[in-house]
Amino acid sequence: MTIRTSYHGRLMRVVRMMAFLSFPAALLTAAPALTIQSSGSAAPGQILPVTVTPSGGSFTQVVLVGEGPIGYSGIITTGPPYYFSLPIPATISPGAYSLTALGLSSTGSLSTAAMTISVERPDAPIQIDVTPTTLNLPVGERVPLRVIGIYLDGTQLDITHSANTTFSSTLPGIAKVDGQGYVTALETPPVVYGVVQQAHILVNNSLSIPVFTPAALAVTPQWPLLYASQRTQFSAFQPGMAAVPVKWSINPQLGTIDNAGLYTAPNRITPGGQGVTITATMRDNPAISVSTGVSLCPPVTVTIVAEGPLMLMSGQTVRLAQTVVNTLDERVNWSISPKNLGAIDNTGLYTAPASITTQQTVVVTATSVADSSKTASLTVTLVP
Amino acid sequence: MSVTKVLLLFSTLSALAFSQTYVSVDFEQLAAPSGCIRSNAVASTTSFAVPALKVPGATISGGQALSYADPYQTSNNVYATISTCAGVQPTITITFDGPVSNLNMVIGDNWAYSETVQAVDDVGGSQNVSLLSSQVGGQTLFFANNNIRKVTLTLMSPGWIQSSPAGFYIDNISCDVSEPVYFFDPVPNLMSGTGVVADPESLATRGTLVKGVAADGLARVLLAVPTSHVGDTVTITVLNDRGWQSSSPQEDGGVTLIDGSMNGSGNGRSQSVRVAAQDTSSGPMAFALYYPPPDFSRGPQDDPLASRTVGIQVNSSAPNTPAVSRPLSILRPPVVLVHDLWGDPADWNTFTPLINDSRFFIRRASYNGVLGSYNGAPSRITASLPAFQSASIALAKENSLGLAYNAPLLLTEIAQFVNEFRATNNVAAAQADVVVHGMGGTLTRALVQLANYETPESFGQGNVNKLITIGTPHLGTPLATALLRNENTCFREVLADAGNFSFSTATVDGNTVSGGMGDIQGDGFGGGLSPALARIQQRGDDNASTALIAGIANNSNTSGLDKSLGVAQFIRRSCPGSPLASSLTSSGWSGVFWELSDAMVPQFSQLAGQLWGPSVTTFSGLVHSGGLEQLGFNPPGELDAGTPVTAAVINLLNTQVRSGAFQPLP
Repeated sequence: MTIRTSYHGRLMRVVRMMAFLSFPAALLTAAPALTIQSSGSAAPGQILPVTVTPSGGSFTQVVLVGEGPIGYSGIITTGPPYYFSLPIPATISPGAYSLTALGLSSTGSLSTAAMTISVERPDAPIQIDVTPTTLNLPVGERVPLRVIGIYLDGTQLDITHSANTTFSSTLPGIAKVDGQGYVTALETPPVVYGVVQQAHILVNNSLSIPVFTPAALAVTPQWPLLYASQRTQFSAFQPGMAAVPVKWSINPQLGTIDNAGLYTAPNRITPGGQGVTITATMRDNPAISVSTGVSLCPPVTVTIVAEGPLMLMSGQTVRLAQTVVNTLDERVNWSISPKNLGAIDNTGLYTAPASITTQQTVVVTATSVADSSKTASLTVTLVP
Repeated sequence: MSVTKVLLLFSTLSALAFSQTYVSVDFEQLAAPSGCIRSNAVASTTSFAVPALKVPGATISGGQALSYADPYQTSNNVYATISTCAGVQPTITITFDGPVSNLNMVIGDNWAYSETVQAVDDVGGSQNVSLLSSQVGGQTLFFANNNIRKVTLTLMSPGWIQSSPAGFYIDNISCDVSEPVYFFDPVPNLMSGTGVVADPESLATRGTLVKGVAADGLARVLLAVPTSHVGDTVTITVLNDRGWQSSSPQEDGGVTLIDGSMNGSGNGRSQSVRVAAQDTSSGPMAFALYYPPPDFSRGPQDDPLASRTVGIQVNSSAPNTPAVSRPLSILRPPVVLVHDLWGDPADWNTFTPLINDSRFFIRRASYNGVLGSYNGAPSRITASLPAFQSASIALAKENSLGLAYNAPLLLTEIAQFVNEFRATNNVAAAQADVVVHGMGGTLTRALVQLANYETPESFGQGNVNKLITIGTPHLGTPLATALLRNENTCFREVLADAGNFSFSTATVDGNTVSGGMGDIQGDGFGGGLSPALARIQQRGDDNASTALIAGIANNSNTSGLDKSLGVAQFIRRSCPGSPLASSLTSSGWSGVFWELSDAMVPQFSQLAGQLWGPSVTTFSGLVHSGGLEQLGFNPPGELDAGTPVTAAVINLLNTQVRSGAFQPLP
């Protein structure tokens, strides 16, 4: 409660409140009141006409006071009404500003009336810059963005609080932003298939400020590819810490993971592949966990077919074609046995020896580059 | 693309540690499918992710290899992501086995309409690429940065909708690799407490590549030297900017072993250190730590510069490996400007030429958020002492609140600016030089009281390097004490009409916090201190190197108060019962302080009780702020253009911390 020593003080509080709402208070109180009027908007560098009208009494001096760089106007003693030409500073930051008329009555009392004016440039900036350009916010921390507009005439203005500046978050559940550009990190972003779902703060739906939230726990590797029975070692760490004791779990229960994070893929993997989520949970704080996973691939299978007869005479050729499934790398290495019985190039074209004296057979083998344990063979018969 | 390139394995890097290796990746070696590996249209009960693709020199994830049949393209095999495919993402990530430079690749649109892709590298580069559907064969995307280890390419538009095809492809990734020594910022992933981890695998893989460091004497750069064999010994030497072995850690920085020690015995920083290579998954590597010099400027020759360099020379014991060196940039620490009570970042608009000086990376802290109703949000401030009428209090901003509320915000801001400086300039940095006006100084000095001030990121020392205070009420001001007295209610209300609230306390978001005016109470001589100022004085652990600048108002500044139709006389007449309002005259105002002042803060308080000494500077003919000028005081103010204050600040930013111009405050 304001400590005021006079009836005048208490009365003035009522007058001020009413004046703020632009209602003349003269009908409610015996004290003189003021009403302030203007267009309510101006551009930086402009002169804003303001009219202050008294009621219920007369004033000897009236002055306007605006927030921040607007400051005080000159004092007017002639009126009523009192006409002001209020200069709006050219370098003022666009936004909403309060404007208050103060009137000193002939009885020595002070009356006020207030309004809000909108200060905006008529043109849009040709470029906007935002600082900081990137945020690295721990969860729970809050920081303001500052937006600078650069205009065609070279003027640079702080437009953070301009009515034309908008802020939004691409993931408001991860990082939120309020209308004044204050960003608060709410949660560590989830990792989906190894991709961090990073929140971005959009300024005017165009400029994007990434919000990085230090993970409470991180895990590597991210989504490795495993075939049946293969193993991979996972490790968990806290940024800023070398290692963290964690409990490992998998879902669904395909394969196994030991206490040290060594994952072993199952013996059989169903056609089409499967995904397994690997979760590390901090032992001393089970509320903190992080997940990655493995992509289980069914076995690589190699088959080969001949694009011609498999019985060749000296110097004849046959082209062999491979089909490799369950890997992006469909290459094979071609080989023959015995090694000196003809030749095969790296495209699968087999050429019989220049001289064949007796009927023989040669085994052609295609070995998967992706998984060298997977091969396919066929037999070519060489006839004299 | 159909052009075949010779592929060199990146794993040759360690064997050819001191030569340039060319890496090129196209996708013709893959027998890629002509469509989705699995379409979204195929119902599936199991989750599915296309596995990462390992190619020589890099791992690529987020998309899939694709054999192109799109009539708009001329490519054969590419790496692509398409929203209608299952198990792929809107982001393609390329993680290189080691740092690369001169990176470029082909990028193109998958579909017959325009798209935008954001390309971001891990050393601060970001660019948006517009992909045109009519651009046959795509376009070449260049990355200007060196030492890139990871690139993300994200489809920004159109939206990623599984039922509507969108996506892009990349091809022909080309880059150069290999440096004789790599520079890593250990923050944050190599930190263990306030030190650096020791295990070689983490050192080889978790750092952030940088090209320089701020001269704050505190940041560290991990030096990683690839060698041919485990056990190879490497001598790492700091060179000065003339290419000679440095003789001064104060000027050029120094090196230590990873644990902070030198070869032999003792701790400290030497100009040369000898280390042995250890086994890592990136090949054998030897590690050391570089510490930057405590000052950017070694003398007048550095004053005009934004950066300078030192050299890091590597001399390997392996045969036929001549000594090689690599430049390391030394940058000035970032500069953070902190405004005053009732102020905002725009207060610094006139602080020229500093604010336009391209030598400095300057950011302005802000604590001027609206506490009242804003954009329909409910008012965050519900009560105050002293009270103000409810309509008026809607104008209140955070800049009327005190240290307890604003210090955490300022700490976060400074940390963000240091982070931004690191990311923007691709350097390691731990601290900022902080230039403050008025209460911004007490706010900065209060940071050390916060539990999260001495962070691992600042190696346990906090984010403040040099502190330069201008007109700061280190010992409070009697004006604050007077404004909060009941007898000056009218004066207080008039100031509040301009948005300048004098709070002793305020209730914000349901919590009662100290007000800014309440926190700067004091008689200016060290007595009557507010609890907040007393806490700063009692702790005495805000040991940032501090320089103090004071302004003193003279008769020419106060003569405007006597103007017959001026604001001062209006306030005097409107508040006849207010002693403070009655003092608002050229002869009366000095009586508020009982000593010289800038019309807001006494001189003794601005200089933290030291009227003389190498770390104090006083300028006459200055009032505290533009706000006082609005009341009728004549300019200039301490932050106005054309005063000697800004030149003094620039000079102090160029002055060495060990020169005596900076002292820990008593």
